Amino acid sequence: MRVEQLTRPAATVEHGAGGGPVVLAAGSVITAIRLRRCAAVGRRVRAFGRIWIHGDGRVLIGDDVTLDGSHAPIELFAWADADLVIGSGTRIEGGASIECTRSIRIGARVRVGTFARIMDNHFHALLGNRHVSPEPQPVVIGDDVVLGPRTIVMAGATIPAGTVHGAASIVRRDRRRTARVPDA
Amino acid sequence: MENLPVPRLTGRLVFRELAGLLGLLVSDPRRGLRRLSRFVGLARARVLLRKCRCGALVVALGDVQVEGRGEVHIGDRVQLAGGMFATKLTTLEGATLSIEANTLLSYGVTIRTARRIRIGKRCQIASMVVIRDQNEHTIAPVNIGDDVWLAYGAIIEPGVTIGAHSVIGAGAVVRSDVPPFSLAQGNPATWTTIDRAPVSSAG
Repeated sequence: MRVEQLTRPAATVEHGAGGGPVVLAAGSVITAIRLRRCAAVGRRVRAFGRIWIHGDGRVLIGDDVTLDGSHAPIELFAWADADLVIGSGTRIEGGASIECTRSIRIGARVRVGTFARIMDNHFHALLGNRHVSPEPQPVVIGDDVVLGPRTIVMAGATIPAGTVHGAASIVRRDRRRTARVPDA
Repeated sequence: MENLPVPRLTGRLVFRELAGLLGLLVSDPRRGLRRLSRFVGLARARVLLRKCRCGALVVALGDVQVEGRGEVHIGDRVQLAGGMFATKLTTLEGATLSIEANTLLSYGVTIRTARRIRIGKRCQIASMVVIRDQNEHTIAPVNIGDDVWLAYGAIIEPGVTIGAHSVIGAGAVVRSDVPPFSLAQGNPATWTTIDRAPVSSAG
């Protein structure tokens, strides 16, 4: 399967299909209310269902982003002084949870599958006092990446552009060999 | 921490705590609100965990669903965090689930007990963890030792014993025993001792 096919935005639910400008305006107002806690929101961003944005950090959303929380909520959590950047054309499915303690950068046209989890901190130490969070390790996800359902992206991971991760894969700092970069 | 005495709930203590809370809300609203949410959590645990045998100072900050007629023992100072999904404790009739003192549970944890599940002291259980002691073929008790950390999305299968201080990596599916002080990862999970594990690879 070619990258374009995988990354092409799926058919999205229009606010009141066939509705007039009033319905469209109402949809964008609802989206604005749902994304009111973001530091920046691009144009033509669509948000459905419950989007739970919390923390004292900044959540920046690019153009044409779709957050589809209609069947399960989406969590975007940026700690104080953290930057969570979502590139343009990215689609995030319901149940996805992104927790950012310093920096997570998601590129353009990325698809984040249902119940995926992205975090830039291990939150506990392997040995010793497990109540203290270790240093965060920024996460960078390249353009056109596909993260399958239930993928877990862990601290320090750097995913090259165009990578496809299948369902329930785990991406660590030392990237797994199962990841494949398809021919573009 | 577990050696701290649990204070007896007296009128004087309640008055002092409420006065302290009011003072904090005025002087430092952020910390005040955090403390207020803790009080709400204490009250919430009383209501949501009314069918369980709870120790002192159990806090439920989010939704907890307790189902079934089995016995649920929850130790002192156990904390259940809130979040996107409810934590579900299903205990069938005649089964016993015990969560010992000072254990922390995040949101969306599913524990399904058909006979016996024990979770030790000071464990840290991350979101979306599943623990069950019954699958399609067997029923076998699950025993999780003290100070165990179950990372995000780990699945513990029936009959598994996890030794003290061990770490179960994110998304691991544990189907056989894990000795103490080890790091288990993968599906099915394989373990190494923590000393030999690459630094910070648990999640």
